[in-house]
Amino acid sequence: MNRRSFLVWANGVLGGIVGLVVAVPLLGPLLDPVLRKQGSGERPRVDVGPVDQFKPGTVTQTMLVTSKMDGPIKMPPRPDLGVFVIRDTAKTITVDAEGRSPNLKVLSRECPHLGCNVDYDKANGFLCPCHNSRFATEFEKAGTKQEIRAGATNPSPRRLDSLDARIEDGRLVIEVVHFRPGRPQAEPRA
Amino acid sequence: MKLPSFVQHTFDHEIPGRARIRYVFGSGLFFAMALQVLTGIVMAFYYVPSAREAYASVYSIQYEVTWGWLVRGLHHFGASAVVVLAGLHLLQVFLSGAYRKPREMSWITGVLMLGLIMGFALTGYLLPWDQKGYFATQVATNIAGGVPVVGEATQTLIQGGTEYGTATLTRFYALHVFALPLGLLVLIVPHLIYFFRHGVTAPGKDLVSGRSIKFWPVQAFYDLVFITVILGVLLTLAVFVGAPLDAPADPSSSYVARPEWYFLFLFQILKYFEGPMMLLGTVIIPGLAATYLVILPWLDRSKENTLKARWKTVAPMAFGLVALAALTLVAMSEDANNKSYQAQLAVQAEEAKVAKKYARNGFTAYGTIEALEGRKLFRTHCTSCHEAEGEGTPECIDGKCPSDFGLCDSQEQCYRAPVLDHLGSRKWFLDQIERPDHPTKFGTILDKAGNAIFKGEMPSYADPDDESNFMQPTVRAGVVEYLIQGTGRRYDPPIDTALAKKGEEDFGECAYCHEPTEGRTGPLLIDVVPGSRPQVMRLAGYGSDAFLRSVLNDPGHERLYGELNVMPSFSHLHYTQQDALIAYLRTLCTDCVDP
Ligand code: FES
Repeated sequence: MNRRSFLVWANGVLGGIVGLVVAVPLLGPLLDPVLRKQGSGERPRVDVGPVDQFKPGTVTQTMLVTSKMDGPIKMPPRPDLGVFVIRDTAKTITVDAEGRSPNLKVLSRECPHLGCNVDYDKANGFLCPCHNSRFATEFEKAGTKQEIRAGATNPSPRRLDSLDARIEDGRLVIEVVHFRPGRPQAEPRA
Repeated sequence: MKLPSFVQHTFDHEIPGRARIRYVFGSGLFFAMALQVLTGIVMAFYYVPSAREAYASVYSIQYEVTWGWLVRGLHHFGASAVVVLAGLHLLQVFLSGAYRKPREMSWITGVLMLGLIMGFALTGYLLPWDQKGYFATQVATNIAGGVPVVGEATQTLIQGGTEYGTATLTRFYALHVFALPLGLLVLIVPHLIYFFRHGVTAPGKDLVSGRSIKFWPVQAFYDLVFITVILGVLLTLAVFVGAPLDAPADPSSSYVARPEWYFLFLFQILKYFEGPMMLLGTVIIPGLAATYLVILPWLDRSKENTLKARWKTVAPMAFGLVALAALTLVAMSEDANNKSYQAQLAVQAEEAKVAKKYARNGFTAYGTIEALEGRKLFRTHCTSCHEAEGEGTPECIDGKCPSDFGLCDSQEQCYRAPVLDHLGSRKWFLDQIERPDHPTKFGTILDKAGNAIFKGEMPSYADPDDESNFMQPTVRAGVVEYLIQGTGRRYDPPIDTALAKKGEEDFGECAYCHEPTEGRTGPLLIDVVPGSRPQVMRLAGYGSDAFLRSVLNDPGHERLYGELNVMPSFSHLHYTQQDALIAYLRTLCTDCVDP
C-alpha cells in the first residue's frame, strides 16, 4: 500500500468512526419513545358525581377529567376521555359486592374505527361523524349485530368499548382507559 | 463514483507547498458547530421553552430520555469547544496575516460569526432555566440595560418585558435555535466561498517552493485526526464529567452567579469600573476590541508577512490576549480564594442535588422550588423539636439531654417531638402502631414541667406478651394499608385494596380512641361524613395535606392532639410558606410516588 492509498483508507476509517460516534448517541433520544416504557401504566379513576344524576332510560354524555404526567410535566386537570353513561329503564340501581351495577353501562366515545368521538342522539343512536359507523348498546333493542352493522358504510371493526365503572358511596367512579382503534378486539393502549 | 461538485471542489482545492497541521482549525471549528446543530436539533425534540416547564424538560433530557445525558453533555462541552476553536482559528489566521487583502471578506465574516457564537453561548445558558443560567444571564441583560439612552428599551426588548419570564425564554430560544443559526448560515457561505477562492495563506517558503498539493488526502487526514481528537475529548467530558444542571431558577433565592468560563474576563472587567465608569468596562472596551478586529484588514496594509513587520497590529492583539488571559486567571483565583464564595458554592451544589432528587420524584419546577423553600423553612422553624433527614435534635452530652428534651435513647440522641422521616409512608404508620412510645415517636415529649406527657396511653400492638393488644403482623399491615388511604397519596407498591378492606375490619378496636366517641383521647383517624344520614364513617385524612395544614395552624385542636398537645401553632406563617412546608414534608414519605 502506498502512502496515498493508506491515507485514503485511514481517512475512510476516521470519517466512519467520527460519523458513527456522532450518529449513535443521537439515535437514543430520537428513538426514545419506543425504547423506553411510556407513561406510568396506571389507569386513573375519575369520580363523575352522584350516581342518581343519571336518570332511568337515558344516555348521558360526559367527560373524564384527569391530571396526568405529560412527559416530564405534571399538567393541571384537563379533559382526558369522553364517555356515555347509559342507564337502563329499571327504577332502582342494584349494586354487587364490588360496586358494579347491571343497570349502568359506561362506553368510551372514542370510535373503534379510527378514534373520532362518537355522537349520540335519539334519532340516530350512536353515530360516528367521521365515517358513519353505527353502534348499539346492550340496553337498546336496536337489532341484531348484523342489522346494526348493515348499510353501505359501517367500518368500525368492533362495538364501542365499555369502561369499568363502579359505584362507591353512591358516586359513580370510572376507570380511564384508551383503546387502540382499528383492531377487532378491544386492546388498551400501553 | 461522482461526487457533488462542491465536495469535489473541497477535495481538489490546492494548498501551496504542503499540508500543515496549522490549517486544521477551520475544519475543527466547522465540525464542532455541526455537532452543536445536530445535538441541538435532537434536544429540541424534548425541550419546552416555558418558565414553568423548561427545567422539567431539561431534567428529563438529562435523566430520563435514552442517552439524553450524552447528547446534552456533547452539546454543553461542544459549546466550549466552539468558543475555543473559534479563538484558535482566529489566532492562527491572524498570525499568518490572512486577514489582509484579498481575504478581508473571509476575515470580517469570521469576526461577525465570532459575535454570533458569543450570542449562542449567552442565549443557550439561560435555556435550562436553572439557577446558574438565570442569574448569570440576568447580569448580561442588566449590562445591556445600563447603557445610557437606549439601554432600558434594549433590555425590555431582549427580555420581552421588564422582567424575566416565559417571554424571555421564548425569545432566547427563538434566537438560539432560529435567528442565530440563520445568521451563521448567511455568513458562513461567503466565508467559505472567499476561502476557496483564495485558499489558505501559506508561509512564504511554501509559496516560493512553487509546489502545491490537493486537500485530499493528506490535509484531509490531518483535519480528520484533529476532528477525532475533538470528538474524543468531548465524549470523555460528556461521559465522565457530564453537563451540569442546577436547582430550578428561583428569583427569590440568594444565588451567586458566575458566567461560563469564557466570559469570565468580561465579568472581571466589571469589578474595576465603578459608577458611571462602568460603561467603560461593559460597552466601550469590548466595543473597541470588536471594532479593532473588524477594521483590522484596513489597519494593516503591509505586504510583509513577518510578525516583526506587522508589529503595529500584532502588538495590540498580543496585549488584548494577555489581558484576556490575565483577567480570566485573576477571576478564577479570586473565586478560588474566596471562602464565602466557596461555601456558597457548596450550598448551591447541595441544593442542586436535593432539587434533582425532587425532580426525580416527578416534581414540576415550581414544586421543586416550593419543596426546597419548605426545606429551608423546616430547618428554621421546626428542627428545634423535630428531626428530618438528619437535621435537628441535639446529641446527648455525658448521657444527658438539654433540660427541655427527653431522655437519651440508645442512639445517644435527644428527642422532644416525633422524628418526621418517612412521614405519611407505610413505615410511618406501622411504627406508630408498633412502638408509639419510642423516643422517635411520642415517647419523650415533655410538658412544661418536664414530665413525660405520653404515659403509655397507646400500647404497642406488636408486643406478643401483651395478649389483649397483640396484633399479628398481617393484621398490622392491613390496618396500615387501610389508614394510608387517608393521606390521599399514591404509593409504590400501590395500595392493596383487599388488604385495606381487611384492615378496616381489624381497625375496630382502635375506634375507642380514634373515632369521634365520647372520651376519645387520640387524634381522629375516622370521622363522620358531614350530613350523612344514616351516619357514614370515613377516614379523617390523617397524614394528608389538609391534616398537615391543621397541625401547623392548630395542633391543639380537639380533632388532633387536644389537651396533650405541646406543639406551638405556626399560623403566623404565610399561607404560601405553609404550602412550602407541606411540599417539603410530602417529600419525606418514602413509598409515595406522587410529588
Ligand atoms: S373514526 Fe369513527 S367511523 Fe371512522
